[in-house]
Amino acid sequence: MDPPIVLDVNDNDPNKLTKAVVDADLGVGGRRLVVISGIASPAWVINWDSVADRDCRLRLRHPVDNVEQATIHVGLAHVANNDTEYVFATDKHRWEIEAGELVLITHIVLSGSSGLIRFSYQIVLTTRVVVSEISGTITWPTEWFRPASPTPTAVADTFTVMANERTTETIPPSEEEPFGRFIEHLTPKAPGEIVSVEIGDLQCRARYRISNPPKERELKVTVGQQGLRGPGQTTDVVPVVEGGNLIRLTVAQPTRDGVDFNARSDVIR
Amino acid sequence: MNSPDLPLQFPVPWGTEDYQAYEAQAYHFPLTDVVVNGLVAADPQDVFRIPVAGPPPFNTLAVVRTVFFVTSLHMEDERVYPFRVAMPTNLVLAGYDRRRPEQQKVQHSSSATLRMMQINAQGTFEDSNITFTFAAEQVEDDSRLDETGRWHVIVRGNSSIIATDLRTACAATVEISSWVLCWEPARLT
Repeated sequence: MDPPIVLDVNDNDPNKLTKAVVDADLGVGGRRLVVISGIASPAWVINWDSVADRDCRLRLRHPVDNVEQATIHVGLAHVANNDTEYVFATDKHRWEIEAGELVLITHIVLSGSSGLIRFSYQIVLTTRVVVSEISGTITWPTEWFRPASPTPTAVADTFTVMANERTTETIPPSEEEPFGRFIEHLTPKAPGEIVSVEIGDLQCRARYRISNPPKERELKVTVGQQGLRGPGQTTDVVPVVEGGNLIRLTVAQPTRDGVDFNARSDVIR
Repeated sequence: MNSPDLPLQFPVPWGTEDYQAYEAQAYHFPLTDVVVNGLVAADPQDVFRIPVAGPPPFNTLAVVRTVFFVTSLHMEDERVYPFRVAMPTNLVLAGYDRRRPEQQKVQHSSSATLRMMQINAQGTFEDSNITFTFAAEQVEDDSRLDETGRWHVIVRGNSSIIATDLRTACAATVEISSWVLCWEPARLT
């Protein structure tokens, strides 16, 4: 079998892959009916007197949670032949979830001096929306910053809470970089909000919530601050437990509480 | 999606264009069944409506099947015939009123599949020396409603045929499967 052809909606090329979605709320138990349709262009051309076959993977980049039912239709949409016997087929298909997103795999078959340029697809599925959430607290010494009132509004400009998608890469040692390098990439995905504030004589504590962060991704929660005045040259908000802000939510475990942060001020000597 | 490079056409009623000559050819699936008076007549299927709670303003999800002809008659001329057509469907919005803003838009997800392809030349068992292309290339995100509330789906494609016999003709039909979010007044029954 020939290697698979991979087409990706993220390439934003309507000549390669189109995608149209309707997403309807069925009004019962958070269920939704989702229809994803389009035309894919593997542009596969052969001149072969036997039968060739391969898979075509469509990365539809559609996040799906909890698929209860799914049905797929695929069919020929653009074929050509140059005066030979021929076979054109889209005869098997299945779906997978890859990193929380839908992938359609179609087995395509071709023979003769022929081209299977495009095929169409339509996936109909029902899902149950699983609400995800990350929550925790931010604690800091009152003498560093005393909010004007124990309300979320009073600290809204002080803290920036964000769930970021985290990817990493390791650069191996080389002549230029004898120790190699580890690089972390953070892409903001879902902002958080402060939902309550307590002001004590020694410490203040704000409770935050991040609604609907993506599932099935490695996430890193970060808290930026402006307005805390610690004794050191730098003041940061860091997780109480080192690495405790690295999270992966799943459909089975869509929420995480206790992702707590403390303010820390360092003196640079 | 706007496609200014290709003018949008509407199907022409049977018998007024060159493809009426195709009626004289031998073939298995008469195109006369496909389009009658500009509307789909072949394999008519009822529109299936599902009540939905949203997203606003929609309250109905309609399942619509439409049969559409790719080409009718192209004598051998080595040309590619592109088309872009607004195909009328069997979906007519109930209680359609142009003054209702919630009825002025629909949202759809549609696929287009080749359902029948046919070439007839010298004879069924003779070498026909034919090179062909049949293509349904794109179902556009844009669609339209006419003054009666009938929904039209816009399809792009092309066809070509190269043959040694001038009597050669080709035909194909496409089935469009559409799921359409729309708004209709509540039914009293």
